[in-house]
Amino acid sequence: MSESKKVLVAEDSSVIINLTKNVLLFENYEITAVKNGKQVLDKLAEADYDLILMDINMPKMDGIECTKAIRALSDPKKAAIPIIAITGNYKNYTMEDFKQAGLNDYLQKPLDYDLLLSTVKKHLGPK
Amino acid sequence: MENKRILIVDDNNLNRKVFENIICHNFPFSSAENGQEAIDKIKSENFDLILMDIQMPIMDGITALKIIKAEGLTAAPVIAISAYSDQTDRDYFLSAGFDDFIDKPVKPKDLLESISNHLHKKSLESSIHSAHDDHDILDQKVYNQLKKYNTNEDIKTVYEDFFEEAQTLLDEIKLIIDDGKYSEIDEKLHILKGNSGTLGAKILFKHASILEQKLKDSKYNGIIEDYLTLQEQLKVFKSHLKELNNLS
Repeated sequence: MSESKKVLVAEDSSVIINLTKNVLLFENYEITAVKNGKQVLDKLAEADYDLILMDINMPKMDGIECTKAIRALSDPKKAAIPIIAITGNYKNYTMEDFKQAGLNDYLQKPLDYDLLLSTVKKHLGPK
Repeated sequence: MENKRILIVDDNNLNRKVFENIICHNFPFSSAENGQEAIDKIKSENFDLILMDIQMPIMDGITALKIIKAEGLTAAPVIAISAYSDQTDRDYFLSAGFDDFIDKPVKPKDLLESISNHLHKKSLESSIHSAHDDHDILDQKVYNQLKKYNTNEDIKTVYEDFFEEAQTLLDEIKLIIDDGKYSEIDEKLHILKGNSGTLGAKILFKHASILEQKLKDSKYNGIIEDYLTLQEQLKVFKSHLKELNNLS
């Protein structure tokens, strides 16, 4: 068995963090949760992750800004990490905005957990 | 309550003017000169309360009310306004289906009091009514999906977190309203709306969505009522979940 995949969840609501954790634990992913974009960058500076689930609407640094910052990182591995947006489409971003920022995929709120799991699996590839 | 619309129905120009002058400071309104005109307006516009004179040409108030009820044209309270004033008349009007009765000549204070009582009662009724309709409170599909991925214990924790967070958000929203910084509400409201949707709190989600749209349109009237509705619906959802947990 290979090591379990590491997923970073960035969400300002602890409710969504817990739910997402419970769902992702089904696949034995190792989950780290943070509450805003700045913390994502901090965590990423300390360690490697296999995927980031990122709320678009976060305080301090929103998901779009944060994604752009990650794509601009000098470490090529970290800069290429798959990022899935979670969005209630609060600021009326379009799919085009997401693509331009460098997001790989997006999940609409309210979350569909089957879709959440299958989308994460798709981007993580086989274990 | 400033956003509630009232329909004034009276054939007498002077009476209409009197009503209009009394309520224009508190409510937007529209006027009709007889029962038929009132019905046409009710069919094409939304009203939250109707003030109806009884004796009118073309169509009187009682006939108009009967049509409103029979055709289910509106759920808005209809208040009879008439110079008839003994107890028998009053009983007759109430039994005919009017929600209240006000004597002519109308005293401004009585009229405004009756209007706000009925508007308040209506909003309470609608929340109580919905409280009994379990399908509307919790989206069963969402709940079943949660059950698929979460143990009962986890679900309990998730909802407890949600209640705590929702209460904190509502408290913060209240502070923002008190400060009059309405443009800052949406950020908090958005979290509440998203999580209500995610956890299947349908009515709460609906009301949060309505308020969100109002804020987007910069409509800040009646914000405090919207806030109170959210508080109320959070309570309703909480007790519904509690009931559900006790059963299972």
